[in-house]
Amino acid sequence: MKDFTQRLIEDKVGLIGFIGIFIVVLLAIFAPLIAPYEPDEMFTNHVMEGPSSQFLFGTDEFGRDIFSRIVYGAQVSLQVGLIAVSIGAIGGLIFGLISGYFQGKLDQVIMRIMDVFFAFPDILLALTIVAVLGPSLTNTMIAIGIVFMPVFTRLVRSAVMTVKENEYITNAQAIGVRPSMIIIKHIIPNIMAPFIVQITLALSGAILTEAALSFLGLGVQPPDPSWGMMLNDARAYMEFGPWTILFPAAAIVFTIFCFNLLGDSLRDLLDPKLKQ
Amino acid sequence: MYAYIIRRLLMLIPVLFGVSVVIFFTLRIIPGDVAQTILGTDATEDALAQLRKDFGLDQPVMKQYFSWMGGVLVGDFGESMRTGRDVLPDILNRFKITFELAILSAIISWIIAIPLGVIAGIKRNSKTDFTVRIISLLGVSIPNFALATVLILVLALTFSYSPPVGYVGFFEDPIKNLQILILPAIVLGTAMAGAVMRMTRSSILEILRQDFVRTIRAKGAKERLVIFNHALRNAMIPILTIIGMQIGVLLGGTVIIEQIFSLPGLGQLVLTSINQRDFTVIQGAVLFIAFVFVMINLLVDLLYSYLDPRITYK
Amino acid sequence: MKPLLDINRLNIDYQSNKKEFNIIKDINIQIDEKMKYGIVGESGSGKSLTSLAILNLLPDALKVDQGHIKLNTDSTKDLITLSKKEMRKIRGNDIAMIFQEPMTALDPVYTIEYQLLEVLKIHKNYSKKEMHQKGLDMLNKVGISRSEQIMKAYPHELSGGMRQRVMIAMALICEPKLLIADEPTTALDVTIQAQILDLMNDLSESHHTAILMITHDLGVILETCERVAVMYAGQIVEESTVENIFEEAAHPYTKGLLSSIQSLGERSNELYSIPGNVPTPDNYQELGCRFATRCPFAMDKCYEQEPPMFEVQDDHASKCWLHVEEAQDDERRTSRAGS
Repeated sequence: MKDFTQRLIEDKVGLIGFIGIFIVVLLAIFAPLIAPYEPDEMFTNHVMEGPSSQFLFGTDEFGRDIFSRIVYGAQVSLQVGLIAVSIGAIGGLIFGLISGYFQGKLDQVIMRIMDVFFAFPDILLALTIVAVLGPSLTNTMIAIGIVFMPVFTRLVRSAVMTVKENEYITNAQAIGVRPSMIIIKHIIPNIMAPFIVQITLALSGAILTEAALSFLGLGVQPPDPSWGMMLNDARAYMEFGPWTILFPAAAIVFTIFCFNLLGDSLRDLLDPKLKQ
Repeated sequence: MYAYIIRRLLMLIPVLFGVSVVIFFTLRIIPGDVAQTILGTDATEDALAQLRKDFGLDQPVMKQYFSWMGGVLVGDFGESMRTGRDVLPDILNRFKITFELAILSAIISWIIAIPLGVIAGIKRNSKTDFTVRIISLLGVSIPNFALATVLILVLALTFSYSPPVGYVGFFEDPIKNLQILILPAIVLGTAMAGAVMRMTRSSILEILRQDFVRTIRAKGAKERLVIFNHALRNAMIPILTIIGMQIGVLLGGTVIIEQIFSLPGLGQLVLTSINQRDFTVIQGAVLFIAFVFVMINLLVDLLYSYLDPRITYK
Repeated sequence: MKPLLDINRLNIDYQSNKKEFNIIKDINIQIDEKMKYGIVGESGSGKSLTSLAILNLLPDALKVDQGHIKLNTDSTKDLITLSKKEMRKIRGNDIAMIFQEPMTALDPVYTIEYQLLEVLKIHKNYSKKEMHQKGLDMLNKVGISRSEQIMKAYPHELSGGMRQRVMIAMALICEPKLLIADEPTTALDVTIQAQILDLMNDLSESHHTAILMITHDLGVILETCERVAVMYAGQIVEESTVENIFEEAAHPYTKGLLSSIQSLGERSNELYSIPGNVPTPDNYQELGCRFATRCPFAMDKCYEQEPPMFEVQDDHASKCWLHVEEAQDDERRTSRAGS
C-alpha cells in the first residue's frame, strides 16, 4: 500500500486528478463557508451581471450568484455520484459474487437479466427509469445506480471466476471452509483492484449522467442547484451572458476530467496487465 | 457462419423479450392513474373511462402486455395516447433522422480519432503524442451537451449563428440536410472521438512492440506498409470493441443532441413522450432503440470474425 | 577475395536523455560467401543486437556509435551509412532474417500466402501467378507437403515447427546472400530443432546462402557452423574455426561455457556453471576485462587494462591477458635457454 501511494504521487497525471477531485470535495463539504450567498438567493437589482468582485462568476437571469450555485452544485454532483455508484457497486458486487461463485442456474438467470439491461443505451435506461419514478434528486440516484449495476456485476463475476481457479481457493474449499468465509477472506481482497478502478470511472460516468438528466429537466429539480440544469437554463439567454454557460460547463468538464485522470492512472497502477 | 448468425439471432429473442417485459411493467408500476395523468385533473369520469377502454387500461396487466406484444410481433405498436397516431410509422420516420445523425457522427469521430491515434502511437512520447493524449482525455471528459451549448454560444457570438429551425430530408435537399445535421454530428462525433483515439493509440503502441512488426521490417517493407497494412489492421480489432461500446453512447447522445438542435428524431420523440407520459409511444420507441442497439452489437460481433481470423464461430 | 559481410570495429551505445553508455564494443566479424558463421553467448551478451545492427533494426534508444558493416555483393555498401531507402532494398532481398519466436513472428491476421509473397512483392516484379508458384515451390523446399493448403492457412493454425519452416521459406524466397538466424530453434521442441537445423544446412548449400547463426547453444554451433565468435558483455572474447574452439578453447569464458555443456554430457553429479551473472551494460567494467569479475584466473592487470585480441595460434584469437603472460614467459624461457 505504501508502495502504491508512492507511485500514485510519482505519477503526476494521477496526482493532478486526485488534487482536482479533492478541491471539488472541499467545495462540496464547506459550501456554506465558501459560497458568499445562498444558491437560490435572488438579487433582483443584479440580473445577468458579468463577473465582478461582488459576483465572482456573474449572476443569472434571476439575479442568483453563479459562483455560489456552482459551489452548492458540487454538493449535488458528488452526492449523486457517490450514492448512485454505491447502489450500482453494491448491487453489482452482490449479484456478481453470487453469479461467479455459485455459477449454475442462478448465474444463468442473473446474467440474462443483466443482458437485458445491457440492451439499453445508458442514458435511455436512466431516462426511462426517471420517467417511471418521476424526476427528483433521489430518483436520479436510483436510476443511475441501476444503469451502472450490470457493468459491476460482469466485472465482479469474471474476477471471481478467475480468482476461483486459484489453488488456494480449491484448497480452502477442500478443507471445508464455508463459502461466505471464502468470499470475504479470499475473493473480495483479490477483486479489489479492478473494482476500485471501475468505481473511479463510474463516478465520472454518474456525474456526467446526472448533469445530462438535469440538462434535460429530468434529473435534479429546482431549487436544488445542478450544473447540468444551470447549463440548460442559461441556453435561452446565453448571448446576453456567456458566463452563465461557461462557468457551469467548466465545472462539469473539470470534475469529470479529474475523475478520468485519476481513473486512468489507477488503472495503470493497479492493472498488472497494462504495466510495461 | 450462417449457423452462427442464426444462433445469435435466436439468442436475441429472450433478450428482446426481457426488454419488452422490463419496459412494459416498469411503466405500469407508476403511481397514480394513467388516464388521469393524460387527461388532467379536470377530466370527466366519462372521458377517463373512454380512454381506459380505448387503450385497454381497464384490462388485467398481463392481458394488456400480451395484446401489446401480439401487436408488436405483427408490426403494430399501437396508437399514441396523446395524438392517437400509429406509433410505428412515427418511430420509423423519426429514426431516419437519428440514423443519419448517428452515421454522420460516427464517421466524423473515426476521421478525427483514428489518424490522430495512429500518429500519437507512432510518435510515442513526442509533443504530438502528448497533445493528442490531452485532447483525447478532454474529449472523453466533455459531455456532448456541454460541448454543444458552448459551441452554439461561440458561433452565436462570432457569426450570429442560431440552430436552424425545421428539418429537411436528405433526399429532398441534400445540401440543406447536411447543413442542418453537420453541427450536431460534429458535436456527437468529437465527443465520441476521445475514446476511439485513446484505444487507437494504445493498440498501435502495443502492436508496434510485437515481434511480427520486426519481421515485416526485416522483409524490407516501407514504414507506411508496416503501419497501415499491419499495425493498423491488427489494431482495428480492439478499436472495433471500443466502437461497439460507443454505439450505446451515440444512441443515447442523440436524445440530448436532438433536443438541443431541435431535430425531430427518435430521441426527441422519446423525450417528448416521457414529458407527456405517452406510454404507448415510450414503450414502442424504447423497445425499438433497444432492438437497433442489439442488432448493431451483433453486427460488430460479426465484423470481428472478418477482422480476426483467430476467432472461429461455431 | 573480399568477405561477403565485413563488420569492422562496430560500437553500439545506449542513448537516452538521462544516460549514455556503451553496449557493443569493437566487434570484428568477417563472413565469406556461403560460409556458416556462428555467434555464441549468454543472453545479454549483445549477440542479437549485433545481428539487428546489420539490418539497422536496432531499437530506438540504441545507436551505432562507430564502425562499419560492409556488404560486398555486386558493389560494396556500408550498411551503417546507407539511406533508409537503400537499406530497405537490402532487407529481405540481400540479407534476410529469421527470429526466435515463430509463434509471434508472423502477423496473426494475414494468411501464410500473403506474408510469404509480401516480401516478393516488395523486391521483385513477378506476376501474380508466378508469385503464387514461387510460394508453393518455396514451401515444398522447406518440407511442407500440403503447400496449397498451408498457403491459405493463418499462423495460429500451424504448429511452432511449421511456422519456423514458413519463416525460413519467407527468408529464402528472394534468394538472399546472407541469412541471419537469431536463435531459430530455441522456442522449438528438441525433436523439431534438429529437423530445422538440417533444413537450414541443406538450403544454405543448395541456395549458396551464407548463414549467420546467433545462439546461446554451443550444440547448435557444432552442428551448423564453420567459424564461431564467442561474445561476452558486448565484446567478442574468442574467435576461430569451430574445431579450434571446441578442441583448443583458449579464453577462460569459452572454457567455462564448454565445461558447462560437457558436464551435461558426462552426467556428472555436479553441473558446472560459471559463477555470477552477465553484467548489465550499465555495470560494465570501465577499464580492464569485462569478464574479470567472474574469471577464476583474474589478475590485478585484468582490472586495470583491457586485454588485446591475441593470436593464440594461426587463425585463432582470444582476448585475455593470460595469453600475453604465457607468451612473455615462453619468450623469457627461450631467451634464457638460448643464452
